[in-house]
Amino acid sequence: MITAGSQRALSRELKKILAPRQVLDSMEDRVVYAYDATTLQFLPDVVVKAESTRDVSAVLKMAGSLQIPVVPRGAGTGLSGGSVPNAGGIALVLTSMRSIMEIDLGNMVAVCQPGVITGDLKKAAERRGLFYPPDPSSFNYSTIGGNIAENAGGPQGIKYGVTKDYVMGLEVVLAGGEVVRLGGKQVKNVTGYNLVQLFVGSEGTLGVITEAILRLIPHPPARKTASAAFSLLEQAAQTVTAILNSGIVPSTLELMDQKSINYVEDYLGLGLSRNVQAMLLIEVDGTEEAVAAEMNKIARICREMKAESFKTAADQSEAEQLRRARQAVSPAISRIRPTKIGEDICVPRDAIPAMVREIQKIGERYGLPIVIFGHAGDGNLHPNILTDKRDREEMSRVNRAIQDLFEAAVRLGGTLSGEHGIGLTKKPYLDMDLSPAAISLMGSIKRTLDPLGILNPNKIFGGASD
Amino acid sequence: MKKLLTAEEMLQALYKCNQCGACASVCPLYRHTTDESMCARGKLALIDAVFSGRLLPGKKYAERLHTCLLCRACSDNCAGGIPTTEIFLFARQMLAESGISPRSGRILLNRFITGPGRFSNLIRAINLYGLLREQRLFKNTGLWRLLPEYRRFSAMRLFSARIGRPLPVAGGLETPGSRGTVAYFTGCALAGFFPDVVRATGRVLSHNGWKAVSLNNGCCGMPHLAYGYVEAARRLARKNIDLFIDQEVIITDCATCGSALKSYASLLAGDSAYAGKAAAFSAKVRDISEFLMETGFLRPRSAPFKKQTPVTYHDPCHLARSQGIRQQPRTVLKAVPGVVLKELEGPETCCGGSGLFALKHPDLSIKVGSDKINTILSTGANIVTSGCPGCIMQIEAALQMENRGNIRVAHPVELLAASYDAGRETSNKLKTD
Repeated sequence: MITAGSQRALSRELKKILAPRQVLDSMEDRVVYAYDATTLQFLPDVVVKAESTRDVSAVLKMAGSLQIPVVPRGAGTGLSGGSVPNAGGIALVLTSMRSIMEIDLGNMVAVCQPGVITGDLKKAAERRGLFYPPDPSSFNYSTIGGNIAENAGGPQGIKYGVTKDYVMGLEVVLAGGEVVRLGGKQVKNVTGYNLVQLFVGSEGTLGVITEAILRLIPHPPARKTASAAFSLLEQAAQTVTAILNSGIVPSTLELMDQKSINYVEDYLGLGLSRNVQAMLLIEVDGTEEAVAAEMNKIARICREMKAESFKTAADQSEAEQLRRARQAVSPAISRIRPTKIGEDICVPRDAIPAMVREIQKIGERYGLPIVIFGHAGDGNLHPNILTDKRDREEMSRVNRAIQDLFEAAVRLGGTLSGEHGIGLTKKPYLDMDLSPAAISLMGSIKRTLDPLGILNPNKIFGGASD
Repeated sequence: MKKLLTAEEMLQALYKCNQCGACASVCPLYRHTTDESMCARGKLALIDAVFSGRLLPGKKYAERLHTCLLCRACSDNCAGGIPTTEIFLFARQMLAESGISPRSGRILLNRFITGPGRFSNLIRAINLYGLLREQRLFKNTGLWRLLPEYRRFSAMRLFSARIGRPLPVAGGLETPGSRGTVAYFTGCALAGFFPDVVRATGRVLSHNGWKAVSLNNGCCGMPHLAYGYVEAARRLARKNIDLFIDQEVIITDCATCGSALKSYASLLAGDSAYAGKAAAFSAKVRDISEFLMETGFLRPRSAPFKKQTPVTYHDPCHLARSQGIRQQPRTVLKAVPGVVLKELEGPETCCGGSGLFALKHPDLSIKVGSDKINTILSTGANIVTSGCPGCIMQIEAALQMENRGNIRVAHPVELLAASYDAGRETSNKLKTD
């Protein structure tokens, strides 16, 4: 952080290139842009609400000349500290740039600004019979720009892929203020390097996204939802593999363990069975005929795998109930203890049963309640540790548990983060997953694109976190 | 108001916020401004900063804290079950007690609305204002259209009073009846700006056999609570409790008064002399629609309209979220022949009125109101109903702003009363398009 005198000077300089309403320098303003959903908090020196690409470019040019960090930010709902200004500087808020500029029906493409809320884009597409599939659980309040910067996932990832699979083009402002347009509305493009994908998931460290061209697909005509209950968590995990190996690609294949089922029941009372050890939420979509056939096959598989029960939702409202149950896990468990630490490991699909066993062992080893749920279909599990960060002794066990979780994931051929990003929270563990050569290569790219190191510094790389 | 928090409870509740940000998706003010200090997460962060000593409470803090509709969308949708609105009110109380509160509130509430006498004077003043010829001229000639947008909106809000004969007994109502006696709680907004609604309530009660009495009550205390003047609210509460001590049922047709009166139990829970009486008082309070459903009401057989009329209903925050009253007004409306009830999209989304909010923040109020109007227009309804005078004023003004003044705004009891009247072949037919 810079001195108070320098803060005032910075604020004055910024008001020369932006409207005064866009430069927020009071303590009251800075406090509310200091955090994200990890509850990590660091005050920025000043907050800028960008209203255009020109604003972003001008701010970066100025920041470069003053060597002040710039931390781009959407709704600030990330789960890894990516938008938290831990080195002070300018919190560059993009939520005012929230126009859906175009839904191009002919090309099935959406063009929008980074501050558009993902849920709003989904609704806009659906109104026109189209579909933007990526559905991170925060989609009603997180922004497209943030989703792109973190390569956000979601339950429908198993069939439809994640955010990166839908980004066809970007307008990016680089560290020196240059505005670059990459990609476009074309379906195929091998002209020059594939830099669009470099910026997706770069967590605001390589450039600031000011416009996105996103692929849309036709909205599937039909969808069926079902739930299967199991008396052993391991059975459920094996059923996931069995379904995937049968040739069906469900559009959702989510796992909930007994703890998550019970917490959801406490929270919403939907009538879920409390005694089962695990539940799978399964959805298939497509044409009516395909959907019916696939669901029958899945029902048979679940029975063969000794599911305790298998229920297909009879109508829209029953389907909604089941989806609600899964969506409610995170909210339900956030009521239990003051601090919820959710991890995001992703292992190859055939390692899901083994990973589930590891998580259970780790919970027992450290005497910590760990709730297991997540996108079992793509091997992306969310072990959530319910703890209290005020309890130092417990937190030291939590940190060791997290270390063990990452070790187990990597040992099984997996990775630290499937969708939340590295940000601040997973910095210390990066070398468990990436080789020195990989880290070095990424570092050289970072230095090329941001020689002064002003774009979201101290994120992803650097080892032990602040 | 659900429950007044102690400092300990507030700090515990504050700690539970894990800053997920979901509240931003339901906060009308955040949706319109993308200003983080508008949503609950931002406000809780500010309050936390003040209580942990990182931020000194000053004008800017007070301003942000008071720029809130208190609509409860955030607390209803909070995964962690955090009582966000109660925390905001606690923080406002701290502000009021240290003298850092909006000046207008201080003057209005501590000087003008302190007891029954002053309260009935307030109602009279509002009635007289409503009768001013100048006001009528201004509205009818359309001169108001010359004002800049926000001023126009504020003007429309003030001019949405329906000019009617002031009520007799201290602004209240009295009806004969043999089924039993109910006490009517006189609220400033209905008795002041919409005396005809009070009369409609009276006709409905009397048609169903109830004898209604009015006592010279004081302000319910909601504005005081909203501004953090909790001690002043407690003084008003004690006076009202003592006044209604012998009554068995207390009826109100104002969502806000009902919410305030039902919160007296919590407001005075720590008062050894009044705790029991307050609990008993709050347990006797009924919104008119709630009362009609509980005790049964005569189903009218005559339509107050010439033809089938699409009617829609807006849930006041103080009725749906604060009191859990959602079905009752709808049942009352559906009982009126000729009414075709259309549901709004997002019926519980705040209209943007929020008492004094619309006057203090007309720019934000008008934006939120405009969203509500869009949902109303989508239903094709000719009449919008709502059980809160604040909502009625806000919706009327917002409709006028969009030149849709042809859509009538009414309290549900007015339709029921008109229906009873039609049955009695009086000339009180409501006009429709």
